Amino acid sequence: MTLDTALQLTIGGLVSGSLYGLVLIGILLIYRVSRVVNFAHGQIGMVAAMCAFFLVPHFGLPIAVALGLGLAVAALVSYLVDILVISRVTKIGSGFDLIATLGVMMFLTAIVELVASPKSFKFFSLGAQIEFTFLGVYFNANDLTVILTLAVVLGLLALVLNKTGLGLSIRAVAISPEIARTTGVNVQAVRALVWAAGGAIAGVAAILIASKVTLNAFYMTPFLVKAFVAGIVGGLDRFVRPMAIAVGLGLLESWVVYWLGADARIPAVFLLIIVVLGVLPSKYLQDLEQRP
Amino acid sequence: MFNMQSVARSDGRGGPENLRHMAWVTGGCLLVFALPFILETYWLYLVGVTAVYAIAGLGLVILFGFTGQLSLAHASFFGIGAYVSAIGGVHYGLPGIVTLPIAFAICLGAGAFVGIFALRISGLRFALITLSFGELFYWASVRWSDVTGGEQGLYAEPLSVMGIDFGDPINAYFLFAALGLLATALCFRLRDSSFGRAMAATRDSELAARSSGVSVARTRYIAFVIGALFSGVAGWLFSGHVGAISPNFFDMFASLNMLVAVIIGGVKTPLGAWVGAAYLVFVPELFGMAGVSNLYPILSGALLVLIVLVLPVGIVPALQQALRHLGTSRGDKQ
Amino acid sequence: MKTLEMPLKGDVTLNLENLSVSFGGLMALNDVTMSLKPNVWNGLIGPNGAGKTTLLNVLSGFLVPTGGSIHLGDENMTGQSTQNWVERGILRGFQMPRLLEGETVFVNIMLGRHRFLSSGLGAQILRLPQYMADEKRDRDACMEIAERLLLGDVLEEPISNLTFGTRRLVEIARLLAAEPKIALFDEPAAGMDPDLRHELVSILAEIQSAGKITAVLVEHDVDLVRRLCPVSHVLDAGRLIAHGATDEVLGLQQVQQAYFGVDHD
Repeated sequence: MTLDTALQLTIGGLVSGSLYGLVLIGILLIYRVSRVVNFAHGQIGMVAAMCAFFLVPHFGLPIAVALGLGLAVAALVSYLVDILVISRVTKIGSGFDLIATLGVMMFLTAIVELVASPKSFKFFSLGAQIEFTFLGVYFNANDLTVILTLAVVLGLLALVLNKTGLGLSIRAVAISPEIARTTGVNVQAVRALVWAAGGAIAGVAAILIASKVTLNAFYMTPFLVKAFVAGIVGGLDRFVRPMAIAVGLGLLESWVVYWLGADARIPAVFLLIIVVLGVLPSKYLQDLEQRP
Repeated sequence: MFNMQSVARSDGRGGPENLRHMAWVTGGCLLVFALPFILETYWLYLVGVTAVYAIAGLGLVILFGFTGQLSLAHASFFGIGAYVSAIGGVHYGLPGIVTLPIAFAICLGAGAFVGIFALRISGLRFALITLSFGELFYWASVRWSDVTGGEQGLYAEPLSVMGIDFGDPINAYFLFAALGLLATALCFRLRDSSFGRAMAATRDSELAARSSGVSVARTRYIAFVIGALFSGVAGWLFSGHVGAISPNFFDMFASLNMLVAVIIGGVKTPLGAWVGAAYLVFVPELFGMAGVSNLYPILSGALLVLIVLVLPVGIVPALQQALRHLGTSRGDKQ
Repeated sequence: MKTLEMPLKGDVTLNLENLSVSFGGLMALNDVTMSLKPNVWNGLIGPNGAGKTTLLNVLSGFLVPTGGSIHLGDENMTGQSTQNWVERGILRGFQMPRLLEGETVFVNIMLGRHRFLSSGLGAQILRLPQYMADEKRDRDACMEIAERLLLGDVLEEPISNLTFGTRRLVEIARLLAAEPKIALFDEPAAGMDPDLRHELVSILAEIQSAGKITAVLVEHDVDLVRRLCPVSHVLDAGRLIAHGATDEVLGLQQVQQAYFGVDHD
């Protein structure tokens, strides 16, 4: 194996890992402020891609405008999911929130299938045709966009969370909504904002993913599954560890496919999950469920 | 008859309640025997499919409803049973009476192996483990096409046990009714036993369980294996009855659908598995008859959300509550 | 109440020697030595964070001590599992009642009888005579305890319908249903309304004067400790700073300092 191939594989892995990471960010943010595992997250993102895809031919909008509108719709849908469903469910008891997001996921999937018909489409290429070679490694603008987007989103998030009053409020709500409320934080507004932002980031992820795969009502599922794998193994109440696992998963897949063929991707990933969770010392398993 | 907890008070109130139970059970039996003479063959076939999904659903009731473990591999155990029955029949000409114990043994082994993880891991991480095993099973069932028929799947012979042909819808119906009732009775007895209390404790409060001497890990493990066995036997029934199986019946979405069904029916009660199974089988059928089968998935999602919001206990317990309410208000008037 | 084959009387001494528990660098228990004499009720008092609940956690197998040893009679109990503690008849309650929210009061109390289970799963499902006889014995025992704790009318109520005070009674009923040799109560009367509290205290007093079980009572209410516990142990910052007859202990200057913040010059 040449150095070129190794670099190429690494870049490829980084790209898919970044996509997993982009899907995961919203899941982690939403989990932080509302302690809900949002199964509908991927499909909320899909709504953005689908909207953008149908706005362009129907209204003759420029792609950039359509993408922007798609993101706005995803943010709105995410916000509505929290207001109409999740915030009402969590009052009933624990465990139901998960099921409710599952229902929302099925609902969104069914609607998109109905509206878009169960066909598959080719999404906008978003720079995939702009190709160049650097140091013997093949790049295209789309791949670079993915990696850059993750970096920008993470950077912005770090900035907002650590350097602004809003970030402080978000962190306060994450620790305890009750205490945050007593210190004058508008908990509802913070929650709404985080859900909307989570939806928009899901939209960004879904749009980038759509440009790489065939578009249909289910294209987000494998990405959502990988994001959840990273989140659950790494701990949904953490940030760095699950994000690193998400990127790591992408790298792993890329190398496994090279060494063992595309068929080996699924068994490699899931066997690894089983082995890792099977041998992980108990203390790494305790951050998640032990909360009162 | 099944419910021992409610006759905990032996002081008078047990009498009429027992009578009412007897009435319900007698009525149920009459209905079970009358159905094959009322329904057309196709509907009878659907009732059989319902019984199959109900048996698998009972496994989920034990696993999720009683013990609180989320499994996304339930359809995989269902698939093991189905494939053993179909492969045994197609490739080796084995009769159902032989494939059943094989399916049972393999599900026992698989459940016992996956269950090992439940000893230490719970909640979402355990769900992820089961998802991983489910994905591996799906992958293998597609890839190992010489035996499983790959994505196309397999045609399966109707079950034939000891010379009785269960390709005949009425025979099949009675087999499914008998096994379904047996599984239901088993589920009720588990719930009302000492082990049932251990499962409830494991689900509701690990501290309460441990401080009463319940081994949480052991309880989880046994419940998982029992759930796997229920699903495996149901799968064994499924392939002969439906006649053709393919990996799609056993993927992650199938597991999720089973989960959705029992949640809609009522995850803490064995009857909820029946209502859930009936929902899974008949509602798409009715939508198809009305010519709007594309609306079914939307309803499914919306209904799940609605159930969680309005009747978080599920349809069966809500109905029971309503009936009880009706009963007491009528009693007051007299 | 039908008696069981296993010894019910708290006739064995529980000895704690140089017991230590540290979380990271923090010493939650520091070199604690005490002995719990059979059938004696022991008050365990001290300010918040003194290590009282930590001690209960160690004495029920929820925490493994980092140093020292615990012996029940001749048997080494150090680091034994919760199950083994329960099997020996050492049972605890919690500061916040831990109940099965989705189940009825009766099921919750019956859970306490789990340690007397002698039948396997098969016998339970087939309802073999031995299991059914045990089940009847357990049910009768639970009914009796429920009546005594004023829970007779709510046996079929789901826990989620109950008030805080009643939930506490249910937990105590579960604990008593297990027929403990040594019972560990963690502030059993805290947060209850006065009527219910009065009832509970008189029930506890009745059990105490029957003289059949050993108990450890973590309690902030000094009057309650005086009433129920002839002996008391005082913890402060993980150390045992005093023990002995309750009245004497409570009169000690260092105890008053640690506990009440009263400073006698």
